[in-house]
Amino acid sequence: MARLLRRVLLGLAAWFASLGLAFADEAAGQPVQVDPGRQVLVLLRLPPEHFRPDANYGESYGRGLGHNARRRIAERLAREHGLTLVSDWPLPFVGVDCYVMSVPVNQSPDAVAASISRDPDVAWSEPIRVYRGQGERTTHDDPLYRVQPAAREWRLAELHLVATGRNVRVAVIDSMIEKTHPDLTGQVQMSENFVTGRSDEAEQHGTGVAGIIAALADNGLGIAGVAPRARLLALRACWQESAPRTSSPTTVCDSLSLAEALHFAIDHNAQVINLSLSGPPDRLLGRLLDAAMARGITVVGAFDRNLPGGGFPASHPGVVAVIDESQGAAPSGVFSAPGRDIPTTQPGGRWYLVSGSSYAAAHVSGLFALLRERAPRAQGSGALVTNATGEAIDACATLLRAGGPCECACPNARPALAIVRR
Amino acid sequence: MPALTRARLWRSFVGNATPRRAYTLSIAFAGVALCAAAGAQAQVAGSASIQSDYRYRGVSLTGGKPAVSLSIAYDHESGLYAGVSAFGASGADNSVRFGATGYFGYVARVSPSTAWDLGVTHSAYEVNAPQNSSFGYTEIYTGIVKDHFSVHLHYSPDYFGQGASTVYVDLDGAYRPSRRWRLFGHVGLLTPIAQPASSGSFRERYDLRAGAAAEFARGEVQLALTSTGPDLAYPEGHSQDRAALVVAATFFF
Repeated sequence: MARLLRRVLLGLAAWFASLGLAFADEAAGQPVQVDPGRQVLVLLRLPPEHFRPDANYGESYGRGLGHNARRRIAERLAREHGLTLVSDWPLPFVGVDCYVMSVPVNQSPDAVAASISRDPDVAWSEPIRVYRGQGERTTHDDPLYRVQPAAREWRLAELHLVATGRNVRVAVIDSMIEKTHPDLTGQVQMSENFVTGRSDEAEQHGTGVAGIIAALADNGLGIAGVAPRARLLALRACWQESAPRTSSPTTVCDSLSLAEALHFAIDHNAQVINLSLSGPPDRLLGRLLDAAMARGITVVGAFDRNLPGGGFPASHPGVVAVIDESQGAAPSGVFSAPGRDIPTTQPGGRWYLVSGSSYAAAHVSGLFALLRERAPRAQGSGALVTNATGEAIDACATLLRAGGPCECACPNARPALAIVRR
Repeated sequence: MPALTRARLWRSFVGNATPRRAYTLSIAFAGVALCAAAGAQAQVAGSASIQSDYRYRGVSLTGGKPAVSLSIAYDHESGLYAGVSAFGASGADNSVRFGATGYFGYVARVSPSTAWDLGVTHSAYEVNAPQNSSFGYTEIYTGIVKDHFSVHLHYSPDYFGQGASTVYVDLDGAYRPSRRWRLFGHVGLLTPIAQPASSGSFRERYDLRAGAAAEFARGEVQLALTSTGPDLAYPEGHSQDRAALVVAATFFF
């Protein structure tokens, strides 16, 4: 018996050595270049965690023993439909295990997804959708101007007498943020890259959004973020289509990387999630947004006039939709905020001017960080106070109302502050 | 409180179960469950592990020796689940050389983040020479699983065949600091609630476990520190460390 067991032990050890020990999220051990237009997501049901008697069992986060059963189902589906299994990632907060499969050129991803959805082992399937950052072209390569619209319109310095977003966790789901930027040093509490097969170089959109939300204040450099003491979760789910540091790169994301980043943000107790992007509605992302909001997380999305309903996620119920105030009257239920010629952080330790609803959304995410410091339960659009036209956010009134009853607006901020302090 | 003598402990095991009956019960638990819930929307998976020690609730069942284990698990969309987990070791005298646990349960989501868990296990063990004995026992459990934390309450009318009825409460949790790593922790408290005088003394005991796991495409490697107390005489004369560092490598298939 003892000899037999020794042989089994040696055999298992050799077996492990032969596995190559590819990490869990690397298909066949190789990074995968994302081609969102030719891929589908296959969502398999992820049973709730439950007791297992194994001696070395620990909560598995959707991996572990059952994961391989789902992988076999995914392999069967890929075989039957002529697809290639690319990668997978469990999303236990919405009860699914997500498999990415690439579709051959002679098949339509929509048709493949519809066909796979009919399989009884599948929760549903959908094509990977593409989302774009809502930032317009950078208008200047010049260094930072000393004018921040929010400094005037929102009276940032006065807001910061009431709150600075101290220790509020804001997830920025965007392109790669330059964590070492002198105006962002120490502001990123946690970072994760959900984009595979692309350069890890810092990118403009994410770095710009992060700066508006949480750039250091009173450091003698650059700008002051709306919530300079907030803590950022820098979650890269998007990438620049052109080389970094060019004047007009396009920022693109796909629904898989966004889903992974959203799940990570929920899992790591983000209080605010900034989504400065828009695209088509998506069932998986919708469920993740619902899961986030059910846990009290504020979700802010950029409104895109060129898409039906302002695009997703701005159109999703409960998401705070924000548009650049320079784009004219905001549709009903949409909030406007500064979004034109905003100085903010850029890769290479520089500052640029940026424009677009992406940056308006970033302002509102920063404002929610201030709100959550004062009123941790302030979650959705109901927490915002608008001006007489009902569109533009009155940041002072919003923040002061969170601190207690107050009939105030920016011009009356100083008396209102006195009320708050009593 | 005096500890159980080794002889008494193993004798009590033998006295409460016969080997064939125990194994049959374990396998039957899982087999019946698998058949009852067969069909589509079902997931069957297995794992094979090697580990430097087989510690159950803080106690080494293999005398501190390495073990190999094999698990088969079944999950049905309805929430029914079942499985068998078995291990073998070429351990020291009087340690367990083979053990198997069959289980059958039901888990239901009560909210998007919370599930309620209920089930039953039956375990059977064979002990090395010179005892060459076998024993088995049954336990029922219920608990709540919320996100990555769970709390369970286990009741056995005859824990390890010693004649004592026990309640075991355990709290498990995990945290993923990055995509490829998982930290986990466990706290358990075993409390005798009734025991006949003939079964000797059975003390309340806690166990702790904390560790990290690196996840790979089809497996994982765990390093965990386990500890138990307040003392450990299990069985007497066959001392083992209260704390141990356990390395385990698991392959999922």
